[in-house]
Amino acid sequence: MRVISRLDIKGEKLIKGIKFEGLRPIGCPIQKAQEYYNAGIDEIICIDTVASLYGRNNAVKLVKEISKNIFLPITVCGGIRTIQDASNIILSGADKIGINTAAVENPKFLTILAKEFGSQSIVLSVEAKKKSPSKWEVFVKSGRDPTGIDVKLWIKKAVDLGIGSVLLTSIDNDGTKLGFDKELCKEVFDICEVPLVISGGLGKIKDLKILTDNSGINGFAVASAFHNNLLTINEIKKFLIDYNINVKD
Amino acid sequence: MRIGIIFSNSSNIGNIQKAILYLGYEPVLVSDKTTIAKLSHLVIPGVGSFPKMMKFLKDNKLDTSIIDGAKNDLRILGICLGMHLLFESSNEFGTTKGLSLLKGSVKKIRVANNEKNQVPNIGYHKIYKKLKKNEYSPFDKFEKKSFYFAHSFSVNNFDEKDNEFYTIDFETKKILAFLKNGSISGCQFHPELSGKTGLEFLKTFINYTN
Repeated sequence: MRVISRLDIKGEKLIKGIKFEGLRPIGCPIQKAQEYYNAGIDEIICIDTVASLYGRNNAVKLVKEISKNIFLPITVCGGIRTIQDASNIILSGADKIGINTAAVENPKFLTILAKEFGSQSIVLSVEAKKKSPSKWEVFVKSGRDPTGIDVKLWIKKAVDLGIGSVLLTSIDNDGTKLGFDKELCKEVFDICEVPLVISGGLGKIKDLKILTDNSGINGFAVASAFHNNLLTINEIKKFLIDYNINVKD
Repeated sequence: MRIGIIFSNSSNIGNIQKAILYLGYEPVLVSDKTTIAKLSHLVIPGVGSFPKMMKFLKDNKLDTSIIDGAKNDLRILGICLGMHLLFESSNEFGTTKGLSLLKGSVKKIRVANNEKNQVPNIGYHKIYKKLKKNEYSPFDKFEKKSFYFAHSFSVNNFDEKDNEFYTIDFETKKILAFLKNGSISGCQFHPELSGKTGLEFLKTFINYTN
């Protein structure tokens, strides 16, 4: 089980919203990343929240800074549209790249990336919004634009195209601290043939119970709960160890 | 002491370079054969594919100089794909011959249908020492320590008798995590992405005395 710190970034600031809206600056992402590293986090995901919207890619400089004194896996999402973008991100210190908008626009891009960097480096980032019972729609550009694509069908297709893992974010639960969208996580878990990382909603330790039921979920991302000091890494690891879930020591 | 890192365009050397610098050493980037003879240590990282990386080594005549180095006690550490290259062959995108410094072959990890969501294997695993239990090794301290893995291929049919090696429990099978044969060693995990334990591992690789 990977305990992952999710850093949503706008420009040079760490930000956080609720349901992808009302984004507020929270602090310095470099400082926060170092703080979480020192506290024993397993991994870091950086999301450049405006990259796709403005068609630009600012993350390289920031990732270089963040990874300077951090020796952990780092995934970067946001605005990666070409092999060159991906290569720049990986050379700046990331080991995985997350793709959402560019993959929806051109699914074959996923295969090209997987061939170049290996499947293990390619993460499909999925922003899911509930439409009806058991139906979720894929959104792009940081939860702004609907696509009409069904989340489960999209993930199946992307696995066939060569991705190595999935980062699944519930737009409905993001930032609410009301717990993960259990139904979404369970239904995606059942059809997903690569490691699955869930995101959106963690607020209380008991929200982690979902991981004890779906023991194959590979990791979960934490944003607000760490930024607002609602949970500590130690407390989370202790909970997981008590449930016999394998964690990094 | 002179530490080299094999550098090809497709390999992600940034993190390993950064880790070695952090430990206080100035690593040299190696992409031509003459440099290898001057090294005491060589790290072979690797992101990309086995055939592509092997072709890179051959095109630059690095394959023969690595093999020559190994005969002269060059201390080698292959990481992930870099470890795979040390063995005899791989079936990643067709069968390709490796450096054959170690016995064994690289194959895609197979999981049974009832085992879910695990390939590629991405995440932390504790490593467990096999055999040579009573013989001291500078790497003993990493027994049951967690390292970060990200791979779809692993080493099979390696020589269990003459080597010090560590495995991880992966579903119902064991996967080779680290193997050391004299001055030649390889790890499936990424020490440069395994936090403080990973840094300690690299430090041990650089400094241990036989």
